[in-house]
Amino acid sequence: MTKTTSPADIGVPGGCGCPAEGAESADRRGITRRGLLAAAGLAGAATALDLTPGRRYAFAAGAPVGDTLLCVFLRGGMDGLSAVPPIGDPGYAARRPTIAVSESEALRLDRTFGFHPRMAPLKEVWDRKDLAVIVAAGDPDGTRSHFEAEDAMERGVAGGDSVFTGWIDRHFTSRAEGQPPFPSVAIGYRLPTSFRGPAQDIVMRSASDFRLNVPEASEARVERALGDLHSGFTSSSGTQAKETLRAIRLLASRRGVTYEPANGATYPASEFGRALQEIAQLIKARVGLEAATLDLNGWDMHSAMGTPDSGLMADHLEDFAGGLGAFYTDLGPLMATTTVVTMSEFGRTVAENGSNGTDHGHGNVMFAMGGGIRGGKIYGQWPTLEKAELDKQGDLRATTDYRDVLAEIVRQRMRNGRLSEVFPRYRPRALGFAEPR
Amino acid sequence: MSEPVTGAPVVGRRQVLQVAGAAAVVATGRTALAAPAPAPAGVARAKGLPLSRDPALHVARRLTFGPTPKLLARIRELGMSRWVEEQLDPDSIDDRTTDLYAAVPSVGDAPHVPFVRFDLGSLEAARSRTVIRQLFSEKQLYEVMVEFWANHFSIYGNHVLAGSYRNEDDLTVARPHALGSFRAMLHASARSPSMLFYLDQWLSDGKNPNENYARELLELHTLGVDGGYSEKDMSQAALALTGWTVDTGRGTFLYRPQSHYVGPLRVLGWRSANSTPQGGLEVGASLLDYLARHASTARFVATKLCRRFVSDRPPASLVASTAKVYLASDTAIKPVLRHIFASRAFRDSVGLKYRRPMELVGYSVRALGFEPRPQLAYDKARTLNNHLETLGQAPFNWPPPDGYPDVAEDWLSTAANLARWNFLQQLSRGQIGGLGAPDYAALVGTPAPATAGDLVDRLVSRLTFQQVAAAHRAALLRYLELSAEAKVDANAVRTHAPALAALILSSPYVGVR
Repeated sequence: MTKTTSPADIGVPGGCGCPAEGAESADRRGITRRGLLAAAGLAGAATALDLTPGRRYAFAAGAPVGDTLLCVFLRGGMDGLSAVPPIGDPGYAARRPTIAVSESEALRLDRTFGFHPRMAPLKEVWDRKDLAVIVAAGDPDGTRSHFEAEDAMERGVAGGDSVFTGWIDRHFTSRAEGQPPFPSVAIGYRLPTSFRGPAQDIVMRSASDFRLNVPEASEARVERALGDLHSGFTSSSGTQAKETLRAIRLLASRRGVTYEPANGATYPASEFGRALQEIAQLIKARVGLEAATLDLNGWDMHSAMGTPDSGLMADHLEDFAGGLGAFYTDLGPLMATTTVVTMSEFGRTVAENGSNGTDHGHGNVMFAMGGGIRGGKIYGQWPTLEKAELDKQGDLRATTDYRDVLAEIVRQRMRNGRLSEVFPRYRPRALGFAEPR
Repeated sequence: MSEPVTGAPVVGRRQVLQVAGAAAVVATGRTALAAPAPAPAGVARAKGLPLSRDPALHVARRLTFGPTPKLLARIRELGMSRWVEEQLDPDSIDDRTTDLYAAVPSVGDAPHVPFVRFDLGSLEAARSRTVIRQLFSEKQLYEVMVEFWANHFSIYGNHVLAGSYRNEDDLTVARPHALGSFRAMLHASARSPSMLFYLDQWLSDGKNPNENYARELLELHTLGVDGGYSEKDMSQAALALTGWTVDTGRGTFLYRPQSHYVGPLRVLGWRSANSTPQGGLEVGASLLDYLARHASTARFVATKLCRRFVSDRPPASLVASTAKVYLASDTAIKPVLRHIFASRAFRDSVGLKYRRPMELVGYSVRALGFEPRPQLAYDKARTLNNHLETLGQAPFNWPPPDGYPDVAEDWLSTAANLARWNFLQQLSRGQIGGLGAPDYAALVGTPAPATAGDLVDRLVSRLTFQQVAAAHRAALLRYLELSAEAKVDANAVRTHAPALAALILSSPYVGVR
């Protein structure tokens, strides 16, 4: 296993996170690698930016230090062997009699790997070389408890490590530039564990209706009274109440704003599609958003996965790939300064169980998407599905620590070199999929 | 004014970090149970908030969905321990009014054959009964415990197969056993079609076991993730339970010998020769007995109960002594509860818990003096359940099997806060379907208040059962843009009370308990 033994060899020049590089970096914003702007179908992107007067400048925005990060957590243990089937691995199809993606169904990536047919929208991004696939990734010593694994990964630590804060929070607290111009945003209801800690954050369903449900005439008085009632003592709930009032004011200018995706992007009519549009909107409004998270649930498919043609897995992958594909199209040139990373708590058993499903496994696939990603390539070491190469429980190993993937993005795209603070007691290895910004 | 909350130096989530830096040793999250690290005693504690330490009020805040004047009078009349005993004997309590309103039939038009169609009536009946009883039942501690166990053996009601049987699960697992024996409840849960569908156990067979149920049985229902078992123990447990399935024609538990794995088994200290297909029912039952009586289960269940009733991070000594009582009483639940309620840690825990959404709704509906009405029964409490969904804690609506979290930080977010405030605005204005409007004239009493200060004081006292800090009283008057001495007329209650009530219920005197 290749865990922490290798030295920290991630020091790719130009991505050291030195504050002095900030100005240079700002100049590069909007400049795209490989002529993203000129790419077919994206040429009209600039016209669709949110240029409504009074909207763009409504926030006390500053320029982001690095890329805007969108972290998508696939909850339940996504079956990476369905999303990116190793069609060229002789150990694959035989162990999955009803659920395997066949060579003819797969969208071929290279000699070993393909995409599930419903991943077609992401195949286009792969072909544009803006999507990297990291195989056999995960926590090398991983637990198979959903709850433990999700918690550890969002904190950015090994399972037993007792660190209170989340890795995204530590990115902001450790870097020289400090807090982002705009709070980190999670679409949903709960504060994601990755945001836990002192950096500011907003959790919301939608920016356009984030307001108190009171008559407009009394709104200011109600807000003031709520603030007063949560003053004079210290507690986490009191602090949270004040942050909520701050968020209401911060988002006041987004009220009733409707949204038209650009470049003909069509988001799936799902919670995930809606949440992605919320993020796309904020990015286009140039408020200074630097980190966002959202969840896509429902991957714990112990039974009734269906076939590559139809059923639970096909539907989920369609939502996933269709959503991220639309996000990519919608953002157009802004993808040059946006990085999306996906993660899941663990992969699933190589062998199908007796219920047309799979149980909790180990190694999994991660995706990184963006203009700053050296895509169209598979990263990580594929240990193969040969019996001798599997882990103790007979599952795919995790040969790349998930923190290697996150750390490379933090260093190269978010311009923070203080990785030992973001990922305490871990020395990440460079994978090379992210260009220095 | 009551004396201020004092005690161990406790700080908020954000302060913790400033004190301890990045290496702060507070593991949290939905897996807080798994956290091995020591932690401050109560992240939720509001330092400097003058929360009343009146023992009767403390008991009412923690052991019920919310105090009412009648409930507080009863606690004072009986004294705490006799009141607890009364609550621990729910059959002795007359609850006919609630029974009437909570009796929503399971529609009756859907046969319990899951493949025909999803029986929404079953889920609706369970949700309606749950909410109406939580709000209005006289058996408050019983309802608190029913919710606790329903959450311990959590099943997502919208699961396409499990949902059709969610009502039956409620009637056969949590409700009959909430104050009985944990061991009996575990057996009932392991035979509940809803659970067997939810965690795929119905599909498991000896040739090709499905591990979903066995894993959660060990991790979430009994030993806990730190309970000392291995992956091997887990897969052995899965084999032990093969054959435990559902008769899908009848919708009842079925043991199917031909699906049972045969051969020696071992889970921690439990062994079975497991030599015949016919013996699998007994083998599984003996494993459940072993798990229910295991020291790790005792610790796990004790931790969760102490977390519910005492603090988010209960003292280790209380957890240990509670686990002992659990084992000594052969998993009986009542002695365990008596032990926790009589503890010094419980007595001293004022202000250490945050009110989760369901508990906030319960508190507010009860404090505002709502009574069950026919409209609520017609509505089957759907409107309230929809609001609870927005608030993030509708009954049986948590998708993963670990149940709603029970520590404050899992409920603190801008989205959660805004949803709470907006619900309270609607509730106070009488805009929640099925409930009607609060009778503010009755709440503030007669004669009607003559000054703004009097109006504020009476509403505060009626809705928080205590007085609040002078600055907070001033904040409410400032909202009215009136001085305390300002004269108010008879219309003032109608004009001002709804908005004031929403603010008072949004205040930390309700949110923190």
